[in-house]
Amino acid sequence: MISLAALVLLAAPLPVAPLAEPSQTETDAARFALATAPQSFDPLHADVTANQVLQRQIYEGLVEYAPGGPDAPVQGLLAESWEKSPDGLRWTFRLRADARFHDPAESPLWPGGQRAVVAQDVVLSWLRMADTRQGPRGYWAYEGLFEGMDAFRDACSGDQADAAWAEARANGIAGLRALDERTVELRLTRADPWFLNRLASPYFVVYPDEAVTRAGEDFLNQPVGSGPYQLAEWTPGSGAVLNQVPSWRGQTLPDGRAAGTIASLRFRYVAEGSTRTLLFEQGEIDRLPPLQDAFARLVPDGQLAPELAERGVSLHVVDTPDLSMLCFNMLDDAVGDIPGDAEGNRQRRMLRQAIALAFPYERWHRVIRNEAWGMPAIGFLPPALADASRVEPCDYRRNDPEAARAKLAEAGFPNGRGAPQLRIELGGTDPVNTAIGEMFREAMEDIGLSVLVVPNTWPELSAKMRNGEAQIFLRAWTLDWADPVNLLETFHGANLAPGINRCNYLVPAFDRDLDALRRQPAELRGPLLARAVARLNEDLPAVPIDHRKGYLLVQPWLLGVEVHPFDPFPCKYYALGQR
Amino acid sequence: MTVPGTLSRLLTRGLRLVAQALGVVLLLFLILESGLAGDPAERALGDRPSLRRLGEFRVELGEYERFEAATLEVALRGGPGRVSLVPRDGGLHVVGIDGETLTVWNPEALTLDELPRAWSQLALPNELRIEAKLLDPSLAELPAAGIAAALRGTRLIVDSRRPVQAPWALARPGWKRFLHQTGELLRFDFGRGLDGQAIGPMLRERSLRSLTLALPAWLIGTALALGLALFAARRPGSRWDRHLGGLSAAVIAISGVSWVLLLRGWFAADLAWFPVTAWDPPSLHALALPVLIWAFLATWPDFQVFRAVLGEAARAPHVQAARARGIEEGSIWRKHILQSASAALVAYAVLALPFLVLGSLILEQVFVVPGLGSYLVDAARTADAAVLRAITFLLAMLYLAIQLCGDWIAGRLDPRFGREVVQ
Repeated sequence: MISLAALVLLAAPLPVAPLAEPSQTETDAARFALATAPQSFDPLHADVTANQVLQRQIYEGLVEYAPGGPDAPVQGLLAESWEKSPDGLRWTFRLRADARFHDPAESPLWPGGQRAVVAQDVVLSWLRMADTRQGPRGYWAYEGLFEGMDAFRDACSGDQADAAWAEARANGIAGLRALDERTVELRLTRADPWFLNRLASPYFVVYPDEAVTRAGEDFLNQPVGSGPYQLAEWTPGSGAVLNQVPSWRGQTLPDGRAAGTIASLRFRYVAEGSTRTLLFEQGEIDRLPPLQDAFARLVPDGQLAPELAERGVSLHVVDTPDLSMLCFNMLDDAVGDIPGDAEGNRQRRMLRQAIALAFPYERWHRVIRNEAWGMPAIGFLPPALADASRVEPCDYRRNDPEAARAKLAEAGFPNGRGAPQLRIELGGTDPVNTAIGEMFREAMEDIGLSVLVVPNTWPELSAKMRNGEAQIFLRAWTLDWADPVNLLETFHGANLAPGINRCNYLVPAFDRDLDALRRQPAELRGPLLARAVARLNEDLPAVPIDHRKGYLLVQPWLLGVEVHPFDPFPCKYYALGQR
Repeated sequence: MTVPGTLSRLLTRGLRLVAQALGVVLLLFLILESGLAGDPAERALGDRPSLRRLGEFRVELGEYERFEAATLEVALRGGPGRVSLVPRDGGLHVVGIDGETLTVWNPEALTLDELPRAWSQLALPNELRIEAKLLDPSLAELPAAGIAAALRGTRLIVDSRRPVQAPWALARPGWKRFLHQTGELLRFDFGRGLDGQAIGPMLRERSLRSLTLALPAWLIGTALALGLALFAARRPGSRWDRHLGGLSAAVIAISGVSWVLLLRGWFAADLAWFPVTAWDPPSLHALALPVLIWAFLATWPDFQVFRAVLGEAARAPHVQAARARGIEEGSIWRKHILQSASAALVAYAVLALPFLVLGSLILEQVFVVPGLGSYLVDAARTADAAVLRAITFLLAMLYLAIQLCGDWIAGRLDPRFGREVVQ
């Protein structure tokens, strides 16, 4: 009642919030518009893109992606060095001596507002991701990897949570232990060739347990990290201002510049694409991924518009590490896989292959991707991955109606006669989805297949996929780090719907290959990877369509911008020039 | 009016308010339960749900009292095959590959310990049988019906090629959740949204921001509409009256979104008279454009209503009689027409007040004002039931309260209006 009374009382006079004159252009602040709302500084909520962007400026992990674009390697951040056992199961990280947490609160947690980052902080921060009572959204990155962590998680969801935490605080867990103040030992259940890349993801940051205890449920608004920036202003769901930490230890970039030189970072959530475009054109924000509404004007034919080039704006193009797919529900009796029905399965596999051969890839690229936003796929793995060259392309990913008809005839459906009616489920009723439905229907009818186009709202399609009821649908999967397994997991039998295997592809031999692949060192993975992908190429639970391309316009005064697909906002690598 | 009479009226109205509030809460509960807004757990978990994560999240949301991710290992034996266990009507339908229900298992009073035997006896074609094994003996006494509860909105795929683990949940009954939510709302305890933020403070801060934009716009728009309506009504049938009517129809005919984008593009982009956004930082200059656009858009529908009310009042018999008596026209408008129309004008105008708190869904998005309107849009986008519930409830309360105030003011201005409302 107090809330409402306060609201009404406050609203009674002219409810003018404190108003200020428009600020002068801040030459020492970089300004960014986010397309999704930042909601939380709690690393447990790092699954939201906008949260990740803000958190990465404040928190640090053991390692990070070095500056230098898509091929940049992983380098130490809080860790100054590390060692790996020959079998890849035991990792020992040595922390920097000069890494410190900075508390921006008026009454800081420590004298002087600083404390050294110690190994126990790594242990407690990461274990918090396993505490289901606190609603972590990123445990999937830890699941099944660290010895004893899944058991700790189970304990946290039961009556033993406090005891499990007491034990973990005293001794860590088997897979995550502080050996001394500056040494962390990690023991893995299986070798992971991409382990360092995994650790560079935003789910492995380190923060002080005292800050969590002090803020309680409000930790999501009171971040304390060891990074170059700290929170100065924060409007949840709207925007934040991060200020440079004066006492940050500093970092020298490969080109000799100092990192973290921009005094202030201003992030705000701008939902409307047209508003973001206007802000960029008026110089009010420093970088812009151009969207459909203005793409043709700002980046005609994939090239920077002359007037932008004259202004010194630069264009960055990055291959998004993802795959857009036409997915088949393998539970479906028309296009899927029925245990024990070898002949029927052969027929349905050929039907899927015929659909793949008839899919209008060029029209998709022209109409849906505007001939710019996608790179046609040649197989399941994005070419940005080093492993992509080790696998065969997908032979059925080509528009060849004649071959599609031949495949249909071979399947026993000459000119589509006797073939079941297909059903493509769309995830929206907007013009783009309508166009997708139409182009699919026309292409399939061209080879004699009948198609029912089903429009859905996104929640409806989501429910159908979750419940294994959607027959054919489109889906994109973005990798979290450059490990092909990250993509192939979406076909693993342990992840059937409602898990990430929305195609419900269940082939034990593929699962075994993938399980073995996970444990293989990178240099020995080739044959297994090739075999697993070859199986997908032949079975076609999904048809690879393309990989999206990301475009980024950058104002001439924002320097040092290189786009890394797995760390899209490394603001400490940026610098500000003359506006 | 006697004191007991006043008390009685206040009490009656108070009780009516409470009843209406409860109605709003119930309606909201039913709408959100229907799944129209989507499954919050599914929406929150995005691309990475699993039976376990969905269950744990439902515990967070208060939909489950308890959740166990793995209670039984379930396998299909007797040959190659596949069935799905689909929760439906309180039981589990065993569905075959073609979608046909093969058999229905009703949990009745079994425990998890007794369930493997019951499932092994289910009649399945081709000599297939379901084999289940209890994974944790400490869960043996749990009621087996929890399996169906844990599979809500999805299914368990049992394939001969790979055993699966069955989850278990104790769902919180609908009436319990309704009572819980009702209690919270009536205490104005709105809890936390899916983003983890406390909703109460967000409502307070955001509604004030919305009002900063909305109240000046409403005042300007209402004053302008009233002025233009008076101007037109005093010249009925004239060129001005016709042109203003035509203009209002033309403005209304074009969608609000188009007007907002057009005027923003013109004044903020082309002419650059105003900033593109209104709240970074908020300033009179930055707020001027959205306020003026809102006032412009609000003027014309109000103008049409005000013009009709004034026109009807001007044609009233007592006004004709006053004119026949030769009373000066200005005096007739002041003393007769405006006075008799004032109750209807006030009653209409104040009805917009509660919605001012909500701000403008479009303007707040376009001009980047972090108000209640943009909060509502984002909540709808993410199926955040707690936020949707809180905003709707707040609006309903304000609407009822302001309706009472409007009735009271209108009753004071025109005693006949007050009596009608009381009756």
